[in-house]
Amino acid sequence: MRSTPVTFENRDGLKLFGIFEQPDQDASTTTVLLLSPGIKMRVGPHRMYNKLARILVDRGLNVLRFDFYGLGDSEGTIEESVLVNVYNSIQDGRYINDTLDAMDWLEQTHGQQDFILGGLCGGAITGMLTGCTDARVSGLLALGLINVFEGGEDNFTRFATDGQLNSLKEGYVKKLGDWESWKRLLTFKSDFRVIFKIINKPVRLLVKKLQGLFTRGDELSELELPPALQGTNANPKFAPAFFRMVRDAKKLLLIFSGADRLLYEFEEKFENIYKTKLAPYQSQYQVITIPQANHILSMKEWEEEMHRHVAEWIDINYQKNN
Amino acid sequence: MNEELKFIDSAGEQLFVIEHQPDNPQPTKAYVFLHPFAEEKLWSHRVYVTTARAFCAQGCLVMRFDFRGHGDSGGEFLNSSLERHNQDIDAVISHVKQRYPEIQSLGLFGLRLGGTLASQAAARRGDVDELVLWDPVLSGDRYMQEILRSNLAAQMAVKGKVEVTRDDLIAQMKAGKPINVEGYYLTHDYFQELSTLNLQATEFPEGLKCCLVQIVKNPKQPFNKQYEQFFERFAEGSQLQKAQEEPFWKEIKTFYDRADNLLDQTLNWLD
Repeated sequence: MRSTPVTFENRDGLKLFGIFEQPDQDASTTTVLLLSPGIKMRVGPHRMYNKLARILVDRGLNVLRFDFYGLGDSEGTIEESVLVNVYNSIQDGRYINDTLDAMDWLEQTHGQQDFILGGLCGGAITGMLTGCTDARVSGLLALGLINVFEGGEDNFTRFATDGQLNSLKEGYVKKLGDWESWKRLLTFKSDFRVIFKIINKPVRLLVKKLQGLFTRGDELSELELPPALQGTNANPKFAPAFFRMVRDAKKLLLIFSGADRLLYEFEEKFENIYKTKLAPYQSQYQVITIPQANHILSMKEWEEEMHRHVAEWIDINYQKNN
Repeated sequence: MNEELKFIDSAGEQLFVIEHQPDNPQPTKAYVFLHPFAEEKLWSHRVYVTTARAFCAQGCLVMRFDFRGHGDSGGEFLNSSLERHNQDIDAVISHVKQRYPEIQSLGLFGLRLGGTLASQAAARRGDVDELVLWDPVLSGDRYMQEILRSNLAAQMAVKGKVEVTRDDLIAQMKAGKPINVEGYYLTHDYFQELSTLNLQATEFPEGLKCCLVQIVKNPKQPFNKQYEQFFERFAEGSQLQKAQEEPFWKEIKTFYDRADNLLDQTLNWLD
C-alpha cells in the first residue's frame, strides 16, 4: 500500500490535510473517502480508519482519509463551544462542501470519477447527505449511521428510544426486590420522567399507530417529518437523502453495532416508519448488525467482523476493481 | 507559516511528521511535540495543533509526529515499547538537526504521558535545552492503574457489570493475552514498562529548563506537592504554574480546540 500525505484547499481557501492510500500496483478508478467521525480526525477511534483503509486498498480501491476544516490537522476553526452542538451541525450537513471539494480535488489531480463515501457516525451521515446529490458517488459504506440529532444527557428522557426504554425497564424490574432502589424512589432520587415514559409507552404506541393510519410516508414533502416523528429528534434530512440514494441505484452498506442506541434509532425512527416506502428498495441496501458491539467497535472481533462484511460488499459490488 | 507533512524513517518503519515552519527561514529554536497515550492523543489532537501553530507564530520550528502504532505512522500499537518510542523521538530530533543545522535550542513538549516521555528523553539524551510539560504523568504505575480502570468502566458500559477484575486483567496480560483499552491492545511487557516510569527518580542534566503547568479545575486549587518536588530538579529560569482547563484529553461536553490558559502561560514563559 502506498500512503501519501496530501493537502488540498476547500472552496473557502482552507487547507485540508489527509492521507491518500493506493494499491502498490494497478491504479484504481474508484476511491473511498473515509470521512472523519464526529470531531475525531482522519484516523478514527483506535485507528479504525487506518485498518479499514488497508482492507479497502487490498481489494484494489484507493482511499482518502482527510480532516474536515477545524478538525485534525486542517485549517479553519469551529465556532461552537459545546460538543453536542458541533455533532448536530455535522449531522445537519456541515461538511458536505468539504466532501465535495475532496472529490473535486481527486477528480482534477488523480482523474478519479467514482466514489464510495464512508465513515462512522458523523462521517456516515456526511457521506449520505453528500452522496445523494452527487452523481460521482456510487456507494455508501456507513458504520453506525446516525439518523437523529443528539439530545445530550440533559434531553435523554425526551429522546430515549423504545429500545433504550425497554432495556431500562428490564433494569427496573430486576431492582424491584432491592431496598436501596426503593429508597431512591421514595426519596425522589429516581428519574421519574423516565419511569413515566416507560409506563406511558403503550399509550404513545397507540397514538403513533393511529397517526400512521391517516398519513403515509411517501405523501410527505421532502423535509417534512411524518407525524410519528414530529417532536422527536429525528433528522428531517435523513429520509429524503436515503431515498434519493436508493432511487438513484446507489449501493448502501449499513453496519450497526448491537449495543449502540443508533441501531434502535434507525429501526424506530426510520425503518419502521417508512416500511412500505422502503419495500421496493430492499435489494439496494444491506443492514448488518454486529451483536453486542459498542459504537466504536473497540473489540478486535467486532472490528474484524466489520472488515469481513465490508470486504464481501466490495467484492460483490465493485468486482471490476479486484 | 508553512506546514509540511511527510513520512520519515524510524527503525525501518514510517513515522508521520508535520513540520510547522515559521516565517523566519532560519529558525534557531525548535520544539518537538510528544503526544499522550492512545485515545487521549485523539481527544487532545486539536489542542496540539493550535498550540503548535502558536509556538510557530512566535518563531519556533515545531515538529509534531505520531509514535509508531499511533495516528498515521506505521507499526501496530500492539508492538509498542519504550524502546520504540525512544527510537521515534530520536528519529525526529535527528531529522530536525540534519535539516535545520542552524537550530541552537531544542525543546520538548508533552501533555500527560507525552510529558513523561519528553522528560525521559531529555534525561537520556542530554541535548535538550527546555521542557514544556502539561500535567505530566509522574508515576507510570498510578497511570496504568487509571488505564485499567478505563477497561473496567468499558465493561460496565457494554455488559452492565465488571466480569473481568483488575487482577484478572493483569493475569490475562501475563498469560500473553493483551487487554483492550478503548480499542487499543496493551501487552504485559508494555504495561510493565510504563508502570515502572517514575519521573521523581529520574536524574536530569544540569541547566535543563522546564515550564511545568499543572492543570486545575479551580484556580484556588493548591499546587500538587509531587509537582513541586519534581520541579526542584530544574535549572534557574524554570517555572511551575497552574492553569485552569477541562480534561480535554478525554470526551467532555465542551468542544476543546485550544487550551488558552495553558497556552498563555506557556507562551509567556517561552518569551
